[in-house]
Amino acid sequence: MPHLTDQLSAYLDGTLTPEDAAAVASHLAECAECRGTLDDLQAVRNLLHTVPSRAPHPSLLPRTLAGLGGAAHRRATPWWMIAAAGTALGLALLLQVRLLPTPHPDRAEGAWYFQQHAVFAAAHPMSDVALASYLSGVLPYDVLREWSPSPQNP
Amino acid sequence: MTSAHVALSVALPVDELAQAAEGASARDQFAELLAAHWDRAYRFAYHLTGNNADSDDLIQQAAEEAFRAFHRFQPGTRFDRWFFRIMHNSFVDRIRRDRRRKIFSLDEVTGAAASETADPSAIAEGALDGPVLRALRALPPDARAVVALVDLLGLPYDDAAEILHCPVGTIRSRLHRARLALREWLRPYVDAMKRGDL
Amino acid sequence: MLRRANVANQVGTALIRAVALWGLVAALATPARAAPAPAPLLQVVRAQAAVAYRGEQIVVAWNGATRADASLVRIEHDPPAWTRLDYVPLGPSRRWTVIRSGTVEIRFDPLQLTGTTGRAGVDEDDFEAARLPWLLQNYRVITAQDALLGRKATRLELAPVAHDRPTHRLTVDDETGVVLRSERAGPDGSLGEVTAFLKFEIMPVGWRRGAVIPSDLHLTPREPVRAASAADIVRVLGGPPAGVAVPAGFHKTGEYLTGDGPVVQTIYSDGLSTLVVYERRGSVASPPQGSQVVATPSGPIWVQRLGLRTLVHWSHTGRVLTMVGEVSRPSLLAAAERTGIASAPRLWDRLLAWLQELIP
Repeated sequence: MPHLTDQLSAYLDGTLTPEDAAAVASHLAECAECRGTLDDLQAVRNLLHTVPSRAPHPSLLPRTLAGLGGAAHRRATPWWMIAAAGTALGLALLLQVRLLPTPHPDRAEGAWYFQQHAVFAAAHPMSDVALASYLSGVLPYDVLREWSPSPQNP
Repeated sequence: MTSAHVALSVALPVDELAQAAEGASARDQFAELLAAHWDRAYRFAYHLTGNNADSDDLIQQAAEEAFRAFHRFQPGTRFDRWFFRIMHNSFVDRIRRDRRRKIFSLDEVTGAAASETADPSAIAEGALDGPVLRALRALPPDARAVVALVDLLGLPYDDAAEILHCPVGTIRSRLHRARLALREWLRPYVDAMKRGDL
Repeated sequence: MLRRANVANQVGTALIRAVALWGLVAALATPARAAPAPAPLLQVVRAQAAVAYRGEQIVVAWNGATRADASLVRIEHDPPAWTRLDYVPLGPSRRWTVIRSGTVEIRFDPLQLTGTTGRAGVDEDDFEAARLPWLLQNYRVITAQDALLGRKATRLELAPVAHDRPTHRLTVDDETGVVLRSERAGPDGSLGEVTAFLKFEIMPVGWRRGAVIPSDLHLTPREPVRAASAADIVRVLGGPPAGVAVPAGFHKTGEYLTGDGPVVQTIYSDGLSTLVVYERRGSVASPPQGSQVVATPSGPIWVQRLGLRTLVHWSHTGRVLTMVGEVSRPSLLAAAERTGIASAPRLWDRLLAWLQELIP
């Protein structure tokens, strides 16, 4: 009697038709090796179920939504502002002033400049080691994207 | 405050600006669907790529592609199947495209010996996710995708078949082979699990 | 064209005059600064290379008046240069571990065992010989007796002579010179950062020799930061670096490239505080995301702030410049203006500045 292969997995997952499931069950009654394999598969599945769910960083969804369609962070902008922007662009094109190039992705974020500064500042022998490493790498710099300047934080 | 600056630094022609204001409601619909499936989509991305940084990238890129293709999505149909398929396609493209980045294991750098026996304290504490995740990462991408969808996210075979664009029979055999491979790599833990020590 | 040349001349002349004046002042001031460094200060400078310890710290960094990031840290240190830091951030961030050994620093997630590896900062000249004199010129040092964690300590306050940079207050362990607590406050008195040991224990030197690093770490290399040669700079910038008028008391200490460019980073120090000037080729500003424009008579400057540090960004004579330091915003703006801002009518930048002011 040939040993069972992927039918065992399907049997374990409950995806076999009743007839096929019955056939597998009767084979298992007589075959110790396949029973052993089934136990192994069950154990593997249980091991996989112990893996905790990975949660995304809370800022990932807002950031992703903000980045959709190329016009980020926009709330409903009044028509006259859109018109003003359009006029500015039209004017710029008319005068053939060069439009802003897309900055290199890393360097475009203010965070990169601050982070590099912290790396260099960490070299000072009097800098607090824990703070220096925190500022130069561990601190979640993506907070800068959420943090909006206010009158107290110009 | 960053809004105006970001909008202007992309060279948008004037009529796209007007279009953007009207497209708001499509974006809202998309955002709602994405948010509803976000956590599970992230888990899929995570198990495909094996680390947080790449999964962040993958899911963001897939979201952008999905948004651009949103007009092709039929409302009322399964958004998760549709989006997960886009994620998986994006993942496959990415592995084909990227040159393999050199990844240093600290063992090479420090010469420290790698341990291959099961960590008894991990079994004792039930802290298994380290070894299990490492074993998952060692699977080839196809196998990893199936295990992620069926065993880690609990999706039925036909969802997995739709997402990975292959017949249900292929899902079944790939899953079986993947589980057998994991059985070998996780042998000490499998035995402990069977004995009831876990 | 001619107008631009005249402005450049005027700026150049003003700059030369300013430098000459400062040079004179410095020459006059120097004899009075011959006093040696206070003993606790020297102890602090030497502590990391001499003392082995372990403990737990709390680290708090303020980011504006209403936001702070904080973390608990488990720390182990063995001289001359082995340190392990296990961070448990307060809040939703993930745990992180940093291990520095000599010039290598790895950072990784201890649960997922993925992370990065790279150089631990940059090579430093001999601090006591080269930098300590600057510190003594630019800061007043005040000491007082104190105690912390049951240990005798000295409170060291380093107050800047120029009123535009942070004050440091350190609580230094008398026995070893390790800083048990430190506070940095901005020139306006606002708290910037606080770090404090909650538990502290001296260990025997060599106690972490043969320390085990987790096997199976997957590390990707960070972009290397390396000293830039003159040839590198010319290649990346297309010429020598632009002369930047940095705030008073700062001296250049090196030039670096990250990866292969295109940004040259010039580092300045006043003995305690670090200032970085980033320079790249370009004539259009493309300011960093998150910055806000300030319209000055000579042109726009973009500004951004993060805790004690401020960033200013502008363009000048075919270069784009970004300056980051723990110096107050007015001082950095003044430095940018003294350096010079591209004076040809930058219609695009002016339109941007106008629109940014309109749109909330």
